[in-house]
Amino acid sequence: MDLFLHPSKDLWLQLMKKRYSKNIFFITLFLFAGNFQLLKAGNPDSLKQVLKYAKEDTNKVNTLIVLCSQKGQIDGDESLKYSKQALDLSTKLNYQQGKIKACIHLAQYYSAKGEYEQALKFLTDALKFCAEIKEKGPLLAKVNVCIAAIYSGKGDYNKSLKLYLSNINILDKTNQKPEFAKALYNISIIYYYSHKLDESKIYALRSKALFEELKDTVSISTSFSLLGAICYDKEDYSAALVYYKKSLEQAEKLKDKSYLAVALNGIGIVYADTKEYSEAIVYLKKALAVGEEIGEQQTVVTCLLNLGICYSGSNNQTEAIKLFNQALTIAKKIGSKHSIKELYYFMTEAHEKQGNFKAALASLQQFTIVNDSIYNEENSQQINELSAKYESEKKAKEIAILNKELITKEKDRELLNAQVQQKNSIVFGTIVGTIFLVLILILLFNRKRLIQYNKYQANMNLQREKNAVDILHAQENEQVRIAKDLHDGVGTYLSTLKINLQLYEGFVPKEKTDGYQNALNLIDVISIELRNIMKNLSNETLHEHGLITAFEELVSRVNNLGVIQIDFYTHGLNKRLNEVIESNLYRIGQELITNCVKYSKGSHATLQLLADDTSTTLMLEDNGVGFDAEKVKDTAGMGIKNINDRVSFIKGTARFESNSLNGTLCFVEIPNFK
Amino acid sequence: MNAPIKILIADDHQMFIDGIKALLNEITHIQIVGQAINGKEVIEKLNNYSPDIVLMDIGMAELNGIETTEWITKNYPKIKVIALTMYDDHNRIMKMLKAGVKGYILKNTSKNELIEAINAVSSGETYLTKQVTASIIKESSKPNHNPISLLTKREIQIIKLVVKSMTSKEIADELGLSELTVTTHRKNAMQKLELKNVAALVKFSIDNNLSEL
Repeated sequence: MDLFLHPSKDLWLQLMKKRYSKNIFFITLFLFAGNFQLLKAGNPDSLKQVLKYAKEDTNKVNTLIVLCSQKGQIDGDESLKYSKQALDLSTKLNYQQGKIKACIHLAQYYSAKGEYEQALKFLTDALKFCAEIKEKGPLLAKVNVCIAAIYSGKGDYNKSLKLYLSNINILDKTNQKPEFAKALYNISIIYYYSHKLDESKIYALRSKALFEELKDTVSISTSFSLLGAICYDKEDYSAALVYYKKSLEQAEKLKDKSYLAVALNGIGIVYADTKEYSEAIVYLKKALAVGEEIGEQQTVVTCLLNLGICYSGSNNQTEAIKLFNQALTIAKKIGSKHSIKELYYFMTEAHEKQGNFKAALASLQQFTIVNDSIYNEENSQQINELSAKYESEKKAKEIAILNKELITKEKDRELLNAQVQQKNSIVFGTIVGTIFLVLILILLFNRKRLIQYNKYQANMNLQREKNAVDILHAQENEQVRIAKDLHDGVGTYLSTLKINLQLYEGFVPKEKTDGYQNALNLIDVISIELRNIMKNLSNETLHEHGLITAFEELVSRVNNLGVIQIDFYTHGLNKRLNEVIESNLYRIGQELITNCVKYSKGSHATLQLLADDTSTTLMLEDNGVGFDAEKVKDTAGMGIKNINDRVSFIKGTARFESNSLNGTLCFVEIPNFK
Repeated sequence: MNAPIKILIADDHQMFIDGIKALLNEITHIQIVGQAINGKEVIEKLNNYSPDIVLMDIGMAELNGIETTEWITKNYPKIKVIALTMYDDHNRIMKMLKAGVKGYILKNTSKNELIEAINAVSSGETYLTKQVTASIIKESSKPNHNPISLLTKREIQIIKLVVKSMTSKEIADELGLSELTVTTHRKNAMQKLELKNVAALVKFSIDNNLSEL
């Protein structure tokens, strides 16, 4: 056994001291979006009566599903029974929605037992059913959110976060409040685990507000605890204490005491970290008692660990070691390796403080063994993942072989095409050659004049380019200046106006309150409008976040106007472009969209920003009435001229295609420069 | 009764400061102890007024709201800062949060919200106005990431016809588009899906039930 710790390991020990798992969490609680409110949920027993006499129809499926979600909280096995019945019956009736909901409940059951693969299997089925009925709305989002929760459970936070983020919008839009709130809560936890505490806090606050709206006491309590944990990690102990105490307040209203343990433990660790050990011990003992009462072993281990740390901190090493040993026995029984590791770590410290170096060394050795085994486990997990990846690549190769046949056929066709092309090119070559000869003769004839003309042209171009740069820069600066003026002047005056108006709140006669309220609302509307104008004028988002974010923002602002629905697609642009190109492309896009909103009379448009190795492309298509190239000279003409100026300035090409049947397509391509 | 909550207002518009003062004048448990027109003045006045809460504008001369908040968090961790600003963009909100603000409300707030925010922050909680949390959450969430969601309606329409082994010219005639446009869409779609040839496109459309969309 190496007595000298590896330096990096030493550093790691330091880190761990700061971040051991003192908090108790309830991620699994929020794994799922349950409770489909299809029927007004009544008493489960009366529902069971209903079931007895129910016809074998979709209503019965729905009743079964309501029963699952109610039973899910009390009796898992009974919930399993009902979900299976619901699945069978809806399969028989070919009732896809019922099948999807039943699958979600089955997944919920298995994930609660930690059988993630089984749960995932049901969810994959649910996805398949969604595809069959072309479900793209809230139900699909719910399935996806469940899958995201499973990824979280399996520790794959990246995948989980991506899936959550891509689905919460639908939940929000379709007003699925409980599911939306739970998803936000889980996202907050993921951010918490990846140490993005500010992001974590935003999501926690929003989910807390939603839970308060829903009067979901359990979730209010847990989200207060989460906020406590976030503040605790930010070392904002006074805020952490406030939140844990609020959590405690809510938890006291609940039958299930596990929430009480979380809050009590939280308060305990805050006091412990601020070295108020006697306060800490009071709360931790309460938490421990609750943990023992409800028989949650992990909670007991965590509380014992935290208590031990307090005793160790207040120089009672004997008591501390006693508690650590007690915790160790339980941790070994439930196989919680991380807890064992932490316990040995703090035991080492306690023995050291006591001056018992022999015991300290023994604990340290144990610590190293457990730590190495955790490290190995994580490694082997990585290896497993790698081999899984290898397998899937092998499969991809097999598919490629299967494809070969198809490709060979394709090649034959290409060969034939090539032969035809060859023939064509001989004919083409002859013609071009002749024309070329003639051209050379003419050119020779006019050589002198041509040279002069070229010189003149080059000069003109240079001048024109210079003018364009000047104009564009002036325009840009002017717009930014106007935006700033609007913000500093008009914006502030508006806010001040509103504040002054509010002074009269209590003095408005009753019959005038509507008018008064309207005036206040009107100021809000103007403020929002003003903010939109400011954002359109300034290119701040573009400057800081680049084209994609700037276009996303622009499109969402335009969509909010409600005139036309624009979908924004982007692909292949994974780096920032040169500043001049970015700002011009953005203004071109703005101009295109403005024209589209003003003149197209269409209902839908698609904006695309695409990039590959050679060029960047901006495309706007609409389903409007199209335009007549001759007529636009007076109406939209200024816009088009502006666009053309900008396009040629950044050495790109623009193409407009329009007819009354298919609307307008605008296409701007900018070659990439090294 | 507890001691009143002491507030310092920082804003570069005197008119706005006066408005807030008048608004909070009748609230007995809130007391405005001072004002500042830029960040530098805030820092100078903190010692004299020892406020509990600073209402902080972002766009100020000398030292802006973000820098000033950073300074307060570092030097006077007990003083809490609430951003009171016109800005509601992701970038500034995150910067202010990182700087250590405990509240974020917009200038077109209502009297009730202003008081609610002051109460919450003074009790140790964080108060972010709904507009702020909602906009951040909305911004960070993206649409679904399946490959089909990369394709526009037009591209799907064209792929379906390509799969029926129609040429670009034929497709152009069928849809009333120019051949060049059809080739462009086709090229874009293949690029988005990272497919090299028509065979792969056919396989993709079968795998993803494209014909049924």
